[in-house]
Amino acid sequence: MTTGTVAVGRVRAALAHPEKRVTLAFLVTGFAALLVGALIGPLQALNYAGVDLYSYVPILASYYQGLTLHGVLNALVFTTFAICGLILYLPAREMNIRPNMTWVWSAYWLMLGGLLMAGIAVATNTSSVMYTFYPPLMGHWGFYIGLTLVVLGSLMVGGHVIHLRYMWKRDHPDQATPIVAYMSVVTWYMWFVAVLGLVIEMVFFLIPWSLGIIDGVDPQLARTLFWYTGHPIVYFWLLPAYVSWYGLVPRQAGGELVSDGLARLAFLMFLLFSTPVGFHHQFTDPGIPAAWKLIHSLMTMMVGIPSLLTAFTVAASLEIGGRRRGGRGVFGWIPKLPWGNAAFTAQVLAMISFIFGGAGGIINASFNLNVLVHNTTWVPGHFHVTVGTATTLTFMGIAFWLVPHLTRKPLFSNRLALWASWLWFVGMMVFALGMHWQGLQSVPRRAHVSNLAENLQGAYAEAAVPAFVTGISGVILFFAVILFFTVLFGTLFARRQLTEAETPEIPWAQDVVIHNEGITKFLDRLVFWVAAAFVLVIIAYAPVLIDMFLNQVPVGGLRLW
Amino acid sequence: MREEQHEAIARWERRWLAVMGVMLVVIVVFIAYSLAMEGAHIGQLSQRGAPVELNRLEMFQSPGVRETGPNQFQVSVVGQAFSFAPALVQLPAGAEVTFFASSRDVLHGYQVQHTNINVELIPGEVATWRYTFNEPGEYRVSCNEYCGISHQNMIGTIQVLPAEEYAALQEQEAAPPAAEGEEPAGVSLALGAEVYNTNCVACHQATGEGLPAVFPPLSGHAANVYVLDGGREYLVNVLLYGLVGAIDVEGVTYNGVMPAWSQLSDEQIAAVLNYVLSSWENEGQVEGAPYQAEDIRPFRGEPQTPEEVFSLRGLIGMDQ
Repeated sequence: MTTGTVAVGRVRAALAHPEKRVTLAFLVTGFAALLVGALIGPLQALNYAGVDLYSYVPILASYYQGLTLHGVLNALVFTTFAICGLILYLPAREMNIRPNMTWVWSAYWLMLGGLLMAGIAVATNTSSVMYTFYPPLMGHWGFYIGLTLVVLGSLMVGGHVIHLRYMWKRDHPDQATPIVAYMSVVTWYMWFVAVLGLVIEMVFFLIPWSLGIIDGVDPQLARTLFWYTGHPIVYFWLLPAYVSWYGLVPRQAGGELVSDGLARLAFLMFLLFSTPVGFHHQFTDPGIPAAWKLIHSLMTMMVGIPSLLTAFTVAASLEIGGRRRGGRGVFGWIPKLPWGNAAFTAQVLAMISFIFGGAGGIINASFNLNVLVHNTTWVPGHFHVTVGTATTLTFMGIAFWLVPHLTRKPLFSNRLALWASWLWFVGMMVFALGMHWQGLQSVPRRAHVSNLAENLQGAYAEAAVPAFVTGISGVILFFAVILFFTVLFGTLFARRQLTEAETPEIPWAQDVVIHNEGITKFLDRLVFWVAAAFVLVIIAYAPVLIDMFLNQVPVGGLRLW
Repeated sequence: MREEQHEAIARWERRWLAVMGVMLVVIVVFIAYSLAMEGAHIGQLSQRGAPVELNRLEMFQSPGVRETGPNQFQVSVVGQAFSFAPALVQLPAGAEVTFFASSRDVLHGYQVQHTNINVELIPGEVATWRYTFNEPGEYRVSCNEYCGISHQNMIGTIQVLPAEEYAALQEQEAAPPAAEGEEPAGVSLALGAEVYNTNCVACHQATGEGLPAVFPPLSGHAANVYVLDGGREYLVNVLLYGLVGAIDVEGVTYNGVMPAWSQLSDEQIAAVLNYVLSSWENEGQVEGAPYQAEDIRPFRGEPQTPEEVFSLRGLIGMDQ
């Protein structure tokens, strides 16, 4: 094949699906952020093992600047960009509607601009306030405005996907929304409900405060607004992974989605119960009455149910695949699964990690147990197996088929991709073990413990064993990062073009028309369910928030780093 | 998928959900039960008020331990970058202790090792909780909320002593001061160095140079302030009551916060002032008598807010 025909083929593909290019832009930007963020990670793991390498990294002014960069890039930037790519592209392809390219590219450029603003603010050490940015510590205004722009861009994408479904419904009045589009749209609706707290915190408090327009912000109110968004944001990270687990992975396993109805029900429950639970991040805040914390604690248990549903449905779907491939006996189907396929294996390892993430989450959500582990290393231990593995490793697994699908370039190496997936999984499991364990010894999170003052040396000596375990994980994860990005960039910069037949297709697990009738029709009335979600939020938040708004104690900003 | 396979899956799914439902109910019941029976260690709101007014609250004027009744104690603690005031709390085992805690500047955490005490210290809120330490020993208290560059060094201690030992210690401390003729222990430079290295070094650094644009230098600067008219008194106020507001030091703007150190003794305040004024580039710049404990005492009667201390800067002719 000559170069000319390749170029023509590429142009034709781009014309047929121009959304491929914007999807790739979102994904690659997200993964670039992950590369920088993840490379700082091993330094933090080694910090807990007492090894202080920060003086060898001259671009970082301190451990705390590095940690801010790590959290912002990985948890906020990587996730949001990747999600905007994934659950724009998948529903658009499934519904077979072309997104409005001008609109979607505008969202991308807005988000990129926001990322640069916030990135510069953190890189210049003017905003080492962590990705939770609690006042009274005050960062540069560029930090707050930049992050707000990233969120606004994501809402533009989400709003557009909701609009695409509306157009699809208009053309298909007798059909229920196809499953992947349904799950994607519910995720975006959930994000719209969830993001309110953060937007109010930014627009009415932190941005004017950092610009000097208002003198003070009430720290308790700001924290509460933050966690209003801060808990459901973890579902915003998780649900796109669930979209793949329900909607695509069963096909990759050779099976099928066992229950369309339960998949929809699980997502609706996330829409309803993700948001009215934020006080479970504030169990130790004196300013929130204990009775309300208890209510949020109980509500959080409700969000456990859809995840437990997911565990069953997805496992059953995989089991069908394993049995079709010849698996016999109770566990005999497991070795028959396509473990040689990195795109599949990465996602199944992500699922396994989430078993531990979910179990730990129930402990965190239990008001009485939480005080033992709140703000200790237990917490980062927890979210590195949830967002750090369940979400991130799933996105990596998706990238192993999606990047070749989008670019028509061959995966750099399936073998290296498998190694990257296993190392990431093992590294994160070891990290989580060390961090959870240290947390039980009350070692605080976010602490530069490898640089304790002279008179405090040995303060955490009793946690030396788990601290060492954490350090080891940093080394494992460093290699996982190198391997993964070798595969990703090796694929992106490959010279060879795949033929149309070689290019991976989207592995839809369910390819049938679902009629809009009975319970499915009821579940498909999304505006009703969004309204119901708002009612729950008002019940769970209004009394406490109104009281906080009326009794503010504003304080000025401080820079202490 | 065959029909019977589908039904088998549905059957198992119902069982799975039933088990999970029961499990969640059991968890919820246990949470509610354990909090109802033993929830005293949970931090609750005692009162709200501007953090700069903390010095005015009776319990925080000189934070620490107070005996409030038979076997009953009150502990008041202030979190401030990057220490707890006081850093050491001594209590008898088995006593019922009521804590009051708050923050003077940014968010801090108060987590006591081997206990269920874990409370967020939020500027504007005074938290309160109760606890009884039954086991004698040293309990590490860690700040577990990021509070700035030296967050990791914000570690305090609760020392729980057997009741008799505690009583003996109290008697010893209540004993009359040292006999005449002995040099007053308070003002030695060794004590000053010790106080400095425990409390000040995290921000102002061992060199006294501070951190550029974050924490102001003391080297040279402290002496310049001291020699101003009213400077000697101003320095005592800064140490006892802290300072907030944007200040200009040798052309650089600092908008951080100076904690209040009223939990230190008069001797310790005097000693650390003398240490700073005779160290680094301050050496030899200051004439006049060193601070004595008696010089500090009168300032205790008039608690200031950090903002009031800030306004003193204008009065002694410094740039604000």
